[in-house]
Amino acid sequence: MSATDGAFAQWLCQAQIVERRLTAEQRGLLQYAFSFRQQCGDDYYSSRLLSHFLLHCDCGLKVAQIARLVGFSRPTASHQQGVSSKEAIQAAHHRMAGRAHGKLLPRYAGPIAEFILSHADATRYDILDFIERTWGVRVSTVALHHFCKKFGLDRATRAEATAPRSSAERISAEPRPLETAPPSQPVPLPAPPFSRRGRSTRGRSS
Amino acid sequence: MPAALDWLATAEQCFVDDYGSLRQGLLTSVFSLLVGLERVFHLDDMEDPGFARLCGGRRCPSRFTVGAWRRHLPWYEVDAFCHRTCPWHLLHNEDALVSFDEHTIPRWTRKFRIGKGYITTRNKYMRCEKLFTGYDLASGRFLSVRGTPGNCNLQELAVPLVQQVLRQGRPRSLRALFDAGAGKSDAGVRVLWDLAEQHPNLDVILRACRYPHRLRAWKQLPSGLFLSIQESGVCCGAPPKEVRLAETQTVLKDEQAEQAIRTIICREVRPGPKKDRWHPLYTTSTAEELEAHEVLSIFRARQNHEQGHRVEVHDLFVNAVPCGYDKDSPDRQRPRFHRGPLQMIGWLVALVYNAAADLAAALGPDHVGDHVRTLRRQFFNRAGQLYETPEALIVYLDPFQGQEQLSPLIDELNARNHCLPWLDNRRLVMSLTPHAPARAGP
Repeated sequence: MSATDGAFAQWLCQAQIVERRLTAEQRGLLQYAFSFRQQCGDDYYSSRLLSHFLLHCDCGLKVAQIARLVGFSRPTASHQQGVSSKEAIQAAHHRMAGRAHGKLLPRYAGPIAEFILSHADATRYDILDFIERTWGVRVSTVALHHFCKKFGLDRATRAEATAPRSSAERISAEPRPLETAPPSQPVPLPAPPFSRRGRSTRGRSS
Repeated sequence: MPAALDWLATAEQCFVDDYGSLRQGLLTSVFSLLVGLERVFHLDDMEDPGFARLCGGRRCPSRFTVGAWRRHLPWYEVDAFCHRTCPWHLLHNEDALVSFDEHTIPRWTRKFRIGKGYITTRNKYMRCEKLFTGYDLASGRFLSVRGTPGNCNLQELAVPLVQQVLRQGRPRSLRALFDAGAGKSDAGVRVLWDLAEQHPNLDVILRACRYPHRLRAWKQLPSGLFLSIQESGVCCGAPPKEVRLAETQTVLKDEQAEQAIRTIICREVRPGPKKDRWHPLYTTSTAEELEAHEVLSIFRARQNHEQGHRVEVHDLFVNAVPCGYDKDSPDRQRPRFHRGPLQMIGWLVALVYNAAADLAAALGPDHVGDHVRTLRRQFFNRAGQLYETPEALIVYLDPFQGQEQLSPLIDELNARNHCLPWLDNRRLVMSLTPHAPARAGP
C-alpha cells in the first residue's frame, strides 16, 4: 500500500499538484484515476479516455493540471474540451490509425456535399470515416479542412451563406419617379396584378 | 463546357453586346443543341435548373431573349467569330484531305419569294437556303461554313472555299474533293483546274456530271481499257462487287484536245437486269502520282462528310437554324438576305459536332465515331444534384451505367478550375456517384 501511495504521490508530483491542497473528493477521484492508469496502462486510448473524463467531470482541476496528469500538452488538452464522447473516441481512432494516405480529388466534392447536407450534425471525423468507407483513402483533418474550404463546404462558409443579411447590406430599390398626369387627362391605370411581363428585347412582328 | 467557355470568350471579342443578351444567347444556342432541344420555342417548357446554369443564368432563358439575339447577328461579326473558331490547326503543315459540300435547308415560306434549289432527299426543286461546309476527312471535323441563299451553288463558292483553306489552314498539301455540284458547267471545272495550276500543293478530285453526251462517249470506250477490281460485298457471305476502272481524257467545252483533263471512269457492275452505275471522276493528279483505284478510294472518303451532314440534321437539328431572308424587308417579293443568323447557328452546330467528336475520342477507342445522339443518351442527359456553395457549383451526377468512363475526363475538367462568370466566378466541379461498397456475404 505504501508503494502505491508513493507512486500516487509521485504521479501527483510530476503533474505539479500539491496533494495537501486537494479536496477530499479530488483526492478520491485522482486515486481512482491513478488506479485506472495502473489497470489499463498509459497508452494513447487510455490517456485520451481519462483526459476526456477528467476534463468533463467538473472536478475543479485546471486544464493544465489534467494535461500534466495524462501526459498531454496544454494546448492539446484545451482542444479536447467541449467535444462529445463520440468525437473523442473517433479522434482517438483517427490518431491511432496511422499516417494519412490517398488524396481528396475534386470529384469527391459531390458525395461529400451530399453527406454534409444530409448529416447536419456530422463531425469532421464522421466525414473522414465516410471518405475512407467510400473511396478507401484516409486523409488528415487538415486536408479535409482545406478541401471543404476550397469548395465552400466548411461550416463557417455555410453559416455565412445561410445567415440572414442585415437590412444595411441589402440594396435598396431605386425610388420610382412619381407619375404625373397632364391636366384634364385621365390618370393612367396601374397594371393589373400578375400581368405577363413584356418583352425586354427588341423583336419583330412577323 | 470548356469549349463553350472558349467560344463565349471569343464571341465577346467579336460581337457588340448592346442588349446584354450575348452570353445567354450563345450558351443557350450551344447547349440546347447538346441536350436535344429542337426548337427555340421549346425553351418555354424548360424548367431545369441545371440547364439554366449551363445557359448563363439561374433561371431558364426566355426564347424572346435568345431568339432576338440570334436574329440580329451582323454578318461581319459572325465572319469574325467563324474565322477565330475554325479549327485550322488540324491542317497546319499537314497533308490535308478536305471535302467541300453543301447542305440544303428547305423553307416553306409562301410570303417571301426566296431563291430555290434542288433538295435531294425530297427530290424536288423548292425554296431553300444553303450552308456550304468544309470538312477535314482525316480528323472528321468541320472546318468552315458559309451561309447563302438557296439559288447559290457549289460551283460559285468552290474557289473561295479552297482559297480560304489554303490561306488560313496553311496545309503542306491540300487534296480537295467536290461533288458534282462544283462542276455543273465546264467553265466551273476549268476555274478549279486553273486554281490547281496556281497552287502546286493543291490537288482537286471532282465527280463529273453525267451529261448524256459525255456518258455516251464513256460507254463507248473499248473494254480493254477497263481494269476489273473485286471488292467485298455488302455483308459477310455476299458475293463480291465488281468495279471496272478506266482512265481517259475529257475535253471541256470550247477547249483544245491538249487541254483535256484526266478522267477516271468507274463502272459499277450490278448483277441481274439492273443497269450498271457510272461514276466518272475528274482529277488534277497525274497517273504517276495517283493510280486510278487510289483516286477512287480517296474520293469515297467524301461519304464521311455526307454522314456529318446527316448527323447535323438528325442529331443537331441544323434545319432549324434561323432563316436568312429578312422578314422586315419592304418588298416581300425581293426580301433582303441576312447571312449572319444562318451562318452563325450553322457554325455553332458544326462546332458542337466537333466538340462531341473530341469528347467521343477522349472517351476511348470504343466511342470513336459515336454520334451526338448516342453521347447524349449515354452521358449528356443525366439526372443529378446541384450544390451551389459560395465557392463552387458542384454537379453531382446520379449513378448510371458506364459512368466510370467519364472519370478521367471529369478529373481533367476539375483540374482546370473553370470559373463561371455568370455565377459570381464559382468553380465548376463535377462528381460521379461512387460505387457502393461490397456487401458482406451471408
